[in-house]
Amino acid sequence: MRYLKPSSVSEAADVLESSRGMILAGGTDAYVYMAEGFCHPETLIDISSIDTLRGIYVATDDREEEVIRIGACTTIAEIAASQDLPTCLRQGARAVGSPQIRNLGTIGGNVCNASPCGDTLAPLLCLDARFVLRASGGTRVIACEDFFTGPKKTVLKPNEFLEFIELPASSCGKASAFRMIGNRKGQAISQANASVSLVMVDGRMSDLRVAVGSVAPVPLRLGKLEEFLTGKRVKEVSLAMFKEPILEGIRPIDDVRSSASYRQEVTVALVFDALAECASKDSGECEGAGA
Amino acid sequence: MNRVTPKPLPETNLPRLNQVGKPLRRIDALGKAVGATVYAADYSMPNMLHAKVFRSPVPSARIVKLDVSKARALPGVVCVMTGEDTHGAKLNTDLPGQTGRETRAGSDAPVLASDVVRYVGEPIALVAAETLAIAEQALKQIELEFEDLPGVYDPIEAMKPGAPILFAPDNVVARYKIRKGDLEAGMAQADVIVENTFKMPFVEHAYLEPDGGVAWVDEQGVINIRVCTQVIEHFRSIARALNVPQNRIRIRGTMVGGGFGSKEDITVEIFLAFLARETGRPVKLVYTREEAFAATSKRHPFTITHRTGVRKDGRITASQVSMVADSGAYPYLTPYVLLYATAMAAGPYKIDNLHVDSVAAATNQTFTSAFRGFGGPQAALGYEQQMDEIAKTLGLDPLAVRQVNYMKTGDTTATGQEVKTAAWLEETATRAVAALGEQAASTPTRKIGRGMASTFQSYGRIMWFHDTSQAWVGMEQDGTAVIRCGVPDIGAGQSNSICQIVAEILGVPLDQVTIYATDSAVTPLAGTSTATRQLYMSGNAVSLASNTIRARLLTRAAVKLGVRGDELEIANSRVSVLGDESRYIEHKDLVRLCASEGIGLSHLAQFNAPFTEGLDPETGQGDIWPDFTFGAQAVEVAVDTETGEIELLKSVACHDVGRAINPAAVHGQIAGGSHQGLGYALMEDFELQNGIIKTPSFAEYLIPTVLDFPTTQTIILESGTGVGPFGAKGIGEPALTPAAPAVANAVADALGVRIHQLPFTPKRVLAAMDAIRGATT
Ligand SMILES: Cc1cc2nc3c(=O)[nH]c(=O)nc-3n(C[C@H](O)[C@H](O)[C@H](O)COP(=O)(O)OP(=O)(O)OC[C@H]3O[C@@H](n4cnc5c(N)ncnc54)[C@H](O)[C@@H]3O)c2cc1C
Repeated sequence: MRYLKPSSVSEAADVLESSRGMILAGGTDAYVYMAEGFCHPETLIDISSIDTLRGIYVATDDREEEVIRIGACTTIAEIAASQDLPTCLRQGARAVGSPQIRNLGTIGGNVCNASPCGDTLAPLLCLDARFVLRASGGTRVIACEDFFTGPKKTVLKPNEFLEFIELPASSCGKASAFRMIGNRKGQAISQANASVSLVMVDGRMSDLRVAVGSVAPVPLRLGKLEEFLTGKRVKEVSLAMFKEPILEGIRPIDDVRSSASYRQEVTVALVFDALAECASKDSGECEGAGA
Repeated sequence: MNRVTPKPLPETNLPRLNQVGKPLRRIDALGKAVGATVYAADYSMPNMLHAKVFRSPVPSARIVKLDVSKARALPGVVCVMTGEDTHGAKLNTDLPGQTGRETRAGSDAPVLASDVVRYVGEPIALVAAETLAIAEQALKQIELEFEDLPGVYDPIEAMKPGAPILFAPDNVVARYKIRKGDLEAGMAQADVIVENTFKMPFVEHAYLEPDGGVAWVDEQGVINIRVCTQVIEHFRSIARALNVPQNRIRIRGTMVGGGFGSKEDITVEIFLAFLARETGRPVKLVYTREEAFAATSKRHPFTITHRTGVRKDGRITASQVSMVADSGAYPYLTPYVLLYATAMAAGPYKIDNLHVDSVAAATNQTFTSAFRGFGGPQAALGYEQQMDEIAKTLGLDPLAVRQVNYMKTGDTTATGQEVKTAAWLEETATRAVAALGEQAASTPTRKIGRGMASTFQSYGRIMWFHDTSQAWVGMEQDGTAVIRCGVPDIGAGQSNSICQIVAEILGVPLDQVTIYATDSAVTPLAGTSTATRQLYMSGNAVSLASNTIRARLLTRAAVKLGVRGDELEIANSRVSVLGDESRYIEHKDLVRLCASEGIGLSHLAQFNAPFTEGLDPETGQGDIWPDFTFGAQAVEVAVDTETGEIELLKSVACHDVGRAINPAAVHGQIAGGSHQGLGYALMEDFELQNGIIKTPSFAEYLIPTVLDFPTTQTIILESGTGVGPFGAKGIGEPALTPAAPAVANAVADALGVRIHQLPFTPKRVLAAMDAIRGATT
């Protein structure tokens, strides 16, 4: 096996193009797969020490809009500790593994690994994140909604890697919250998780996004529920009322961590809880990158 | 539960001591803290080979073809062994390494399966190669063809006619009964009869250190095996399997990174012995975590039914208990575990009319054997959940019902054995409950509940094993002390306690005592580090040995100082005249004096436990153990009714340990045992589906992390009445037993209904909530 450690993004793109090797960031998923024999890469391309892939800052995107840009190799611990990111994303990051895993693991790895239970996926989805994908020929940008195609499957081509994650600058002005349930408190994988972002206008919910994870092959937006809730006051809705739009949207499975019926039931509770937390604050609380 | 005040303690008369009873820094602490302790996997030798075990991927099959020729041909592979090469050798899996009488329960397992395989992970072939990578590669070159056989995956199914037979003639591995008093008459006196069934899963020990070791043949032809084990005396079974004399196998135990009963069975050492003999080279074998999960024993799943007759005041008039346990594919220690569970089935209560019927059956699943508590925790989950159900039925406080029934010193257990030492059940229970303090307030979606459990647990071995322990104690000429005692230290402070006892008796500081332990050839045999027996057995053995030396020291010092022996005090490395500190002789001078006069200052002592001959097979009556430890635990939980999550808010455990040789170590045992028991209640579940392991690693098999539970508050009581040194009882196993039933009772209290199956996962809690909601709408 060859191990390459490019020092720039363009060099990484070039060696990826020529070798079609496997990208390695924190290795917290990749090494497990190799140890278990799920993959046998001939070439490993370690991008974890490319400076430009790390950090959280304000930038202008391909549409000339102001965005919060997160380098793909920013660690989960850095995301969790950042004052410049929306609450739900920080909460999602905090739910990942243990301190050791969060110090090594990266947000890019969490995204590209595309596990249905990845704890930053639902937050990114409910924040309208966009992903900047890099190849030796240039970059393309894809919406988070269109990125995931199945469990551990994405639209990434063999010669592409994730360079940045971008959030609309406005996401910092939204109230947001993430909730997950695992089988224990420390180092637990989500049996189900939910992330909500919204803006309260005159006490009514607007610009609402509800995303859930671990309950379908890919993280899902619950459009029907968003529609149902938009314009309502939180006090008007009860858990029973939105059970149906949630259950219609999700497709959980039975596995060793949980059962489909439990996931269904608990997803409803998680969404409700996250919504209640959002409603309790009337504006976003992150400072905004660079602010 | 009602508020309670701690019951006043009876008078005790504990002697004042200098070293025993103090929370001294353990002799093994520093090495562990700085990483200097050498564990089994840390050893390597020149010219050493690396071994791997080829294991069955299926739970029930006939081996049609086993072709190892490609593996043998792989460059770097030195040896591949199959059942043919071991000549069908068998392990006596029911021999837990006795020093005393060999008692067989009739269970063998092939070292390597060659005809049929009975569980996933069963060993089939061994590989030894120049590197670990080559050994791993060789495993992939072994060709196994098999024909699936019907399997059985439930002990009740296993006992039905027509079930596939793993253990002839009917899969029944062990069966016991207890008949005490008159059950029907007792039931007739009852106002109410309460009946419940409780279930418990397979549980993995989850010790930190996976099994491992290194073996080599020395210049005398002795096969040396350096291994992490609770039982160095397995050298006898290994010798038998290899067909060599017993003095040709030497086991050198290492500091053990946790055993909890799993390292009571033979693990890597038998494979190492065969490979070292075959190759003539040192061989190392260390299990992966997944292998340690699949290839070593589990705690027995039990289904326990209690039918109890009670009067309105809570008094139990009759009790009928039935137990079914799953032995997995081979019996191992199941017959004994079932016996423990049977004899403790009724709990620490005075019950005159009692029937217990228990049975264990074989299935095509991971075998079950010893696990901290040895059947006691399962029994306690039965009787203590039943006590709360009785209280609920009668509308009485759970503690009050127990208080009516608690056994007292002089009462007899289920098998008719009289309890001769303190039975501080009320003392421990009232303290644990009182220490919970104010109860948190429930909200509509967060229900608070409290539960407690009172339990008893034996320490010391079954007395018809005729258990013994030896220890050698000697003094060096500079006044320091040396102990040679074959006690395996499994991290619970076994060696330290022995050193602290010798330090006390010989009056030397703890850091001037050195122990050589856990070597079957050069340290006097001290039996197993199991059954909460080492402090009791080897603690008494070192007491005997060091008291002999102490007497010689005092006799000689008395002459020297011109006083009587009983006018002397021995402490701080000197013997001085009581009341006149200016008259003394230092140990180093005294020892040299004795040496020059030919007064021996070393002594080998043997301690024998009481010996009995067994139980009456028809009634199950008779004495089983030397003594019992009594304790209690109380917990408070919050249950989220929307997600089913349980949060443990408070946990308090109180045990009468007789005498705490090292209170810090006792605290560690109770806090750790409690955490393990709490995990049993709330998350641990070694799941199999048709014999396939669904939780093959720590990614699926969850144990509690530091974030999950608060540390259990410990209250240590000292009645001074135990049969161990200085009146000590045992605490290693008893520490675990009350935790899970206390949680079970707290969850039932919070929800208003009982979940009859462990563990109480969010999924099960929510299902129980739904059942209530369904019933009320
Ligand atoms: C003990 C343990 C506990 C865990 N707990 C959790 C948890 O609670 N929640 C959770 O969500 N996850 C958890 N994980 C999974 C893992 O830690 C996270 O998914 C982490 O974010 C992965 O990041 P990484 O940098 O380590 O990725 P790597 O392992 O380096 O890579 C993962 C995959 O993504 C690809 N990849 C990485 N970066 C890029 C990139 N920039 N462009 C293209 N492809 C890329 C790699 O090729 C690989 O296929 C846990 C893992 C372990 C070992």
